[in-house]
Amino acid sequence: MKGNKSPLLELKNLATGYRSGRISKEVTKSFTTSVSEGNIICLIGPNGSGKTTLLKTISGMIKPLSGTVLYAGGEKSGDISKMSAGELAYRRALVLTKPPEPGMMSVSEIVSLGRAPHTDWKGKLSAVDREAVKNSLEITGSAPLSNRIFRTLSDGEKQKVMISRALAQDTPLIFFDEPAAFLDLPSRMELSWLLTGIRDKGGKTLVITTHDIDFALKYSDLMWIIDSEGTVYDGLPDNLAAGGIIGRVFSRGDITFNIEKKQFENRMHP
Amino acid sequence: MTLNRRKTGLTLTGLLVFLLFMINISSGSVKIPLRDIAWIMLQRGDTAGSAVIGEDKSIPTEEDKQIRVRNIVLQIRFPRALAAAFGGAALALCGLLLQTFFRNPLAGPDVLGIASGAGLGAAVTILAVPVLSTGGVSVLAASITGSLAVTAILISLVKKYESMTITLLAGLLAGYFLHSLTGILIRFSSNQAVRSYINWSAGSFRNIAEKDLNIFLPLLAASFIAAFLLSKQCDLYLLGEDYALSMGSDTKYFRYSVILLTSVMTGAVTALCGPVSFIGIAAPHFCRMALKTDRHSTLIPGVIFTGAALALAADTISSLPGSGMMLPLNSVTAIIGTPVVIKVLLKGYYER
Repeated sequence: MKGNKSPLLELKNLATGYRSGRISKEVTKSFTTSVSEGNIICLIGPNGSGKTTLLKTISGMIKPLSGTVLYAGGEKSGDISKMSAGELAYRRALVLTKPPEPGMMSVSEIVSLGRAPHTDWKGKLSAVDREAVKNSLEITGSAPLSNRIFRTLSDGEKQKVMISRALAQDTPLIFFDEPAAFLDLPSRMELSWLLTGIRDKGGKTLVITTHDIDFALKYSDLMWIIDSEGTVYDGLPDNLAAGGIIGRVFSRGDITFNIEKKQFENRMHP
Repeated sequence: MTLNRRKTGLTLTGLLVFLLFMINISSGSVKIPLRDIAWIMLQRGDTAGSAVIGEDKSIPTEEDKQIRVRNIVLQIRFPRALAAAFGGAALALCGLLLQTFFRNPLAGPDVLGIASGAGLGAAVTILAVPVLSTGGVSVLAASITGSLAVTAILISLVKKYESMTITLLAGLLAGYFLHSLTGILIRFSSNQAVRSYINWSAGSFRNIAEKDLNIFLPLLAASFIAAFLLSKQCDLYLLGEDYALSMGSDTKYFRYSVILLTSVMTGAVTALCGPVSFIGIAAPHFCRMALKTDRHSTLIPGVIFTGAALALAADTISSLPGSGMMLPLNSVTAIIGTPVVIKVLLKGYYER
C-alpha cells in the first residue's frame, strides 16, 4: 500500500457465495484486507474460483455470505450493507466483461448515462455534467467517437466507452470484471496504459478481475489470489510470486510457474 | 440525434394522431365532413345538453339532421376514437416497457402471454357471469389480475434463468396454455355467455360502454404519466440490469413498476376491447424508426402517439369506409404488424 491514508476499501472477515432459502454455498472463504486510494488491485484465480462473485460482493451487487464491506468512512458511514443503490452509485462504478447492446444509443448518450446518480429524475444534464462527460471521453481517447452509434464500434472501442461511462460517474472506486476478455492484444496493451493512467492522474482505486497473470504482475500494486478451495491471499505481486503462491495456485500437470522469470513454462517442452 | 429533431419528430407524430383521430370520426356508415366535426367538437361543451332529436315533428328538418349528426359524433364516434387512441397507446407503451425490460425486440404484451392472462381473467368473468356481458369493472379487475399473474411469473423466470430465450418461449407457451383453458371453459358455458365471449374475443375498440370509458381513460392516462416518470430508469436498463443497478437504479422497484404498469394497461385494454394483437410489438419499432432514438424521455411520448395512430388507422381501415362491412380488427393490425416484426428479425437487431 502507498502512503498512510485511511482505507478507501476495507473487507472484514468477508465470505462470499450464494444463498437460496436455507441452503448457502460458500464460494470464497473469510478474507480481511484494506486498500487505500490510488491503487490497482488485480484479483486472479483459476476458472470458477469465485473472482466474479467476490467482485460483485465487494461492489455491492450481491450480498455477502458473512462479514462486512466498508468503503471510505468505515463503520460509521461506509458500511455498504446500509447503502441504497443510489448511495452506492456515488461510491463506485462498474465495468463488465460483456459490452451492453443498447440499441440505437450513441457513445455520448451512453457516457451521459454515467451521470445518472448526479442528475434529476429526467436525467437532464447540467453544465457540470456535460463537462464531466466531455472529460471522461477525452481520458479514454473516445472523444472522436462521441457521435457514433455504440453498436457499430469494435470491442476495444466499446470497452473504452464503458470505461468513460464509469469515469463520468465520478467515483473513487471502479470495479472491472475481466475488462480485457474480449480484446485483442493491441487493445489489451492500450487498456493497461489507460488503467494505470486513471490510477495515477485521478487517484482512483481500481479493482480488476483478470485471467491475465502477466498483466497482474506487471501493473498491479496489490494482488488478491483465490485458490481452488476459495481461500484468498493478498500481498504485493512480487512477494506473492516469490513466495510460491502463484505457482501453487495455478500450476497444473507439467505447467509450472518460474519464480525468477515470473512466467509459466512447460517442464516437458522448455 | 439533436433535441430539436426529437421535438420536431414528436410534434409530427402528435399531428398525425390528431389527423387520424379526425378521419376516424369522419368515416363510418354515415360520412361526416371534417369541417362539421371540428364545428361540433368546438361546440361540445355548450350544446351537449340540447342534443336530443325533436319529438313532435313528423318531417325531419335541417336542424334535426344536424342534431342527429352531432349525436353520432359525440355519443358514438368520439368515445370510440378515444378508446382506440388510448387503447392503442397503452398496448404500444406496454410493448416498449417490455422490450426495454427484457432487452428483447420481440417482446410485447401479446407475445409474452400477458394478454392471454388478461384474456383468461376476462373470459372467466364473461362466461361465468353472463349478465355482465363485456365491459364493467369486474371484467377489468379479473383481467388485470390475470395479466399480473403472468407478468410476475415471467419476471421471476428471467431473474432465475437469466435467459431471454427461455422467458420468451415460456411466455408463448403460457399463451397457448391459458388459451386452451379458455377453450375448456367455453365448453361448459351457456350459449348466451359464449355469444358475448365470441363478440368480445374478436377484438374491437367499438364495444366500450361510455360508463366504462370513465374508468378506462383515467386509468390509462395515469399509467402513461407513471411510465414517463420511469424514463431515466428505462434508459439505464438498456445497458442491462447490472449496469442499471451500478448506476443507482432501484432495480426491485423498477421491476415491480414494470409488472404493475404493463399488467394494468394490458388488462384494461384486453378487458374492454378484447385481445388486440401486434400493436404492442410493432409500435415501438415504428417509433424508433421514425424518431431514431432510444432515449425513453422521447420514446415514451413517441410510442404513445405511434400506438394511438396505429390503432386509429387500423380501426378506420377495419370499418372499410363506404362499404358498410367490417373487417376483423386483429387481421388489420397483423397485416400492418407482421412486416415490421420480420424486418426487425432480418435486421439482426436481435439479442445474441
